[in-house]
Amino acid sequence: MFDDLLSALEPGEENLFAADTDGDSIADTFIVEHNIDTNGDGMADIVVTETFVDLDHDSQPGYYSITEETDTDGDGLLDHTVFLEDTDGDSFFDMIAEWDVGEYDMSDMESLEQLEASDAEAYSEFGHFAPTDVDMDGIIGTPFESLDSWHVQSDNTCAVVSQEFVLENLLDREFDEGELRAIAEEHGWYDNGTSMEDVGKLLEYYGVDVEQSTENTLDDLRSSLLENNQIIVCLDADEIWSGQNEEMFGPGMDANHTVQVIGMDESNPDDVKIIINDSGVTNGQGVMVPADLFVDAWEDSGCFMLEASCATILEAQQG
Amino acid sequence: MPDLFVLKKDTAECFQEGAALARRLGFNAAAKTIAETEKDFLEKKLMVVTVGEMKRGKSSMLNALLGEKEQIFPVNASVATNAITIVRYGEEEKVEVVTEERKKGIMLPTTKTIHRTEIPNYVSEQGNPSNFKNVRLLKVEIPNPLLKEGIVFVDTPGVGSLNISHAETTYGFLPNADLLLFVSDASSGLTETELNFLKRGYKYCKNVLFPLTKKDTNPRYKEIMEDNQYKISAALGISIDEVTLIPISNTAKIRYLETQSKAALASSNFPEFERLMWSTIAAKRGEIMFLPFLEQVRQETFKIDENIVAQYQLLESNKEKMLELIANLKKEIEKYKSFESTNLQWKSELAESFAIMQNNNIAALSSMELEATNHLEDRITALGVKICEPEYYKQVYNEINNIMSERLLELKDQMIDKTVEEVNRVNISLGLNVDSCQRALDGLNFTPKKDLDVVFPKRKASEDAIRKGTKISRSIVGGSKIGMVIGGLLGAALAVFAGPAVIAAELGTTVADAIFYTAISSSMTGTSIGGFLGGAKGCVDAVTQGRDVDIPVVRKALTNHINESRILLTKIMNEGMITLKGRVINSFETEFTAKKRELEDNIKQIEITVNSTKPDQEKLEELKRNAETIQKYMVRLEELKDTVASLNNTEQDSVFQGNTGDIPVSTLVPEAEKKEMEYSFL
Amino acid sequence: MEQSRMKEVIHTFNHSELCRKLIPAELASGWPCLKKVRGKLYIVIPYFNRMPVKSGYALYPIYCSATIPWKMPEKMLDFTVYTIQENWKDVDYSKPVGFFKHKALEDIRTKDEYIALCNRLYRCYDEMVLAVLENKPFAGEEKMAGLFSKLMEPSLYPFYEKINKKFYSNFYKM
Repeated sequence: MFDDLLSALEPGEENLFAADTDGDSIADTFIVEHNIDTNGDGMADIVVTETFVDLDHDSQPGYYSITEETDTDGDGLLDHTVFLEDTDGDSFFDMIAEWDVGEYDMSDMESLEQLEASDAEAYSEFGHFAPTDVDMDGIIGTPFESLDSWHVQSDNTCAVVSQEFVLENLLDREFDEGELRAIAEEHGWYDNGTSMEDVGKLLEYYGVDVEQSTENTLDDLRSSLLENNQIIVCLDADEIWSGQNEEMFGPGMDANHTVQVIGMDESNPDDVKIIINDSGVTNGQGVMVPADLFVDAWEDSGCFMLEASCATILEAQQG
Repeated sequence: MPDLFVLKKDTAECFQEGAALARRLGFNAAAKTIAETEKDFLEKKLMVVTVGEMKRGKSSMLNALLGEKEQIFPVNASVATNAITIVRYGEEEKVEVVTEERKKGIMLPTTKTIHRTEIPNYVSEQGNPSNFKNVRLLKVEIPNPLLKEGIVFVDTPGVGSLNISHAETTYGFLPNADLLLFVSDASSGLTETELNFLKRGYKYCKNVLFPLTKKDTNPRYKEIMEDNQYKISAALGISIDEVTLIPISNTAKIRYLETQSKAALASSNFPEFERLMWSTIAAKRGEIMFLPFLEQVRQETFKIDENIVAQYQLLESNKEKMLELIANLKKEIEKYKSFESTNLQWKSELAESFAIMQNNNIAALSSMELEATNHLEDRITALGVKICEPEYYKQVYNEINNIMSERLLELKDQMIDKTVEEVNRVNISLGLNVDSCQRALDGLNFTPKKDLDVVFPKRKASEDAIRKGTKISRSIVGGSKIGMVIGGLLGAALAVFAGPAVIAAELGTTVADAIFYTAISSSMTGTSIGGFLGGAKGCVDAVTQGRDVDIPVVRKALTNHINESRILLTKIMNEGMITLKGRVINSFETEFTAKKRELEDNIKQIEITVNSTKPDQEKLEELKRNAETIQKYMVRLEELKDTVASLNNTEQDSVFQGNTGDIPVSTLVPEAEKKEMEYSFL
Repeated sequence: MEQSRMKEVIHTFNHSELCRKLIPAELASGWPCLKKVRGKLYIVIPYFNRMPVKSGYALYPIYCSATIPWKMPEKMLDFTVYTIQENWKDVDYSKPVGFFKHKALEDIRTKDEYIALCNRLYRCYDEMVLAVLENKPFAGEEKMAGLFSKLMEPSLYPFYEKINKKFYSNFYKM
């Protein structure tokens, strides 16, 4: 299917990006950008971007989206956007949105990029956990078993998705982000995001025992991992993504992100790393974050930690 | 004027016949509704609730009003207890006291019959200090002819500024009041607490009389009267002319009862007050005690009539359409089934609203905590070390409790409004406000014929308006019931109103509701509430027995009290909201079942006509006969309604009415002493 | 330079237990306004959703606000969720209303410059609060209006205006 796509592209008009997001050396995510010049002034006045994601390599996209940006008034700025998305690969669009760009001025692009690191740069300096690369004796927790459940969140759903990862690990079956989000919305645990208080409610909904705590330390994290607990933490995403310490908008709303901690790497005691599954960025699977940076970002949430225990689940299954 | 007792008997009989008629014609769901309406009708009382601050002379006024030789309500008691007194008609005098005792951790009501002279032993501060006997309710039945028409007097504890428990007990009654007697007295002006209370009461009951007692104790009572009049009109946002205060003297009236002195009677001004009160009651009783029930039964028979007429007209002119009608009715049934199984959006919307409400509650309770803390700090600043003296400490402690209860009551009002709004929204979005049989018929595209023997009944344009105003809430979905549930919930939250089950049962609410109250109150009167009050009392004790108490200790004790109260109330609210949500959802499901039954009845009757082997002519005659019977019955209902309406035309010298708009915020907040800067941005 | 007290107050509330309970962690807090209730000074902090996009942030309508006492920033007087308010019912929360940064900030090239500018505005707030607390005229009104008008996101302004027209329109001169 993608070969067909590639051959259909005409040079100069389209750009194709291919990426391997799950680390199996086979490209699974393709972004095709079509630049269409309808009035022949040499400037693209419609830009169509298609995104295909095919993680299971069956040539059928599990995710497909089209973004169509149009310059409606001919001033050279793309001022209207239509966005269509098929999130479950059933070939029907699940979401269609449309908006005018309004105040947004494309000429700001350059300076804006200085203001905020883009997604692609996040974690670019850090390693990603791979069992072959590390000394397993120095690894605390079972990060390898937790890698598979990772995927990118679709909205402000980091808390929902982190809980999804935990549920999949504990209950050993697949959960759907959309369904979990619907449950959370129904119970008031998700509305434009999740308050820290409500992190863990979805786990409780599925009968998992959880414990919230703050003022934790790396030692607490370590002992919890040793007890085979599943762990979710809240932290400042800007800090771990780009080292930016200050929140752009009002002060203090900096614990803006939720990730799953899947292990620690203590093979080099001078360079301890925390292994996380971060659904917020495309290369957030099994990221190994230096401990000091992690703690800095974590402190913004008062070192909030949610522990979900395996023991009760096992009991429940046996019982 | 028609005899009310005869009218009541006639109406009840008419309802019985209606139920029998519906059953005979095969409309069992309607028969059941009519029978239930009759039951509610017979139990309906007109409730006159007296409210007002302690020591305003409420109890004396009731004694004087009832004109009993021996006074019922103890008046020389210093402070009344938490108990509510309910006085109603009985052939023989009977006084019962309901106390609550803890059995296996649950508070259970116990009723004991006592003699009238023993009353002070239970409801006065002397006889029952701090209500250690746990008295919740005093039920008095007397053969007083004034009460014979189903009028019930309720005497509530004062809305004192010093006692949350009294206030909440009284607030719990408001949704049931048909007439409020708001008592103030001539010795001192109305306080803000009293006015706030009045605003709340006015929301539920627009019939208010304002007796001003103790007119004999203050020769310049007119000044107080005018001041009160002004304050009331400002608080309720109504014109000053609409507020009629009636100065009375209870002692003069009682002196008259003892001595028959005409001068004493005239000086009491009771004749004027009684005339006003009884004429208000007379004017309202038809509206409150008859019309809603007559209307309910009329609606049921209307639907039966419509079904029979539809059968007749279709059989006569367009037989095929009968099958289509059955199909339409079945579609309606499917719709209700889908609400129960597949189309669950209404449920999740409700759940979402409740979740948001819960968040608002958390925020409101935090705000309550803040206000109480602010107050504490202000008082510490003002009082300095004096706050460590038991007397001042207790006062501040009470003030804090008062602030918290005031906010809690505001929150309750918000919750009630929001829940009612939600329920109405779901009602409309699911189309429950529309008659589904009518909808099925409308869907036929069939033009009714006016030249046939049997024609469709006419709908009155005014009908919807009447229905809106007088519909009885048959389920929790009704606004006043929600008010009671939430009221009960918060009453229980304050621990002192631990008897909502008792009172709910007393007011003739359904058994299910009473069970619900019990469930809530027992869950809350357990350990947590004990902790709440126990802890608070502990604080008081710590200071009153205080050894070397200083400001930091006081601050800590009271801050802890405020904080613990907030935490506990949050917990109670959260749990209560879950229960309330369950109840609302459950009541919708019950409604679906009822609607389905009604539709099934309709289908069955049409099928009987369709499948019967009788010749069409015979069928038509039978339908015509049935239609005539039911229409004759409807005429009778109309006649009864007319008779009841004539009750209302009797002397009506009522109070003020109308003005249902939002009550503006009181303008009585005193201006700050210091002149404040004016800013362009504040 | 000394940290702004206003910034500190907001920071404290945003780190408080209440905020964690009630406000989705992913939201950002916006420009506060002052409010006097029963003689005490409060600040109202609005919250909105913003999503990083390729080149900045997509901004969504204001979602809720918290009213907190100036002197006790861990407590709260009021919490309002606008999505459920009657006069906000036409607001569409599903799509962005605009993008950051807006035109007025064209000359601001780096994040540090931007933060410095914000800090200047916060210090204006401090001066204003001080004036109100001491019951004195606020001298820095014009300076504040200049900074405020530059920093206020035009696409979000209509929502600010809905929250407190008197305050925000006094400083937003566009």
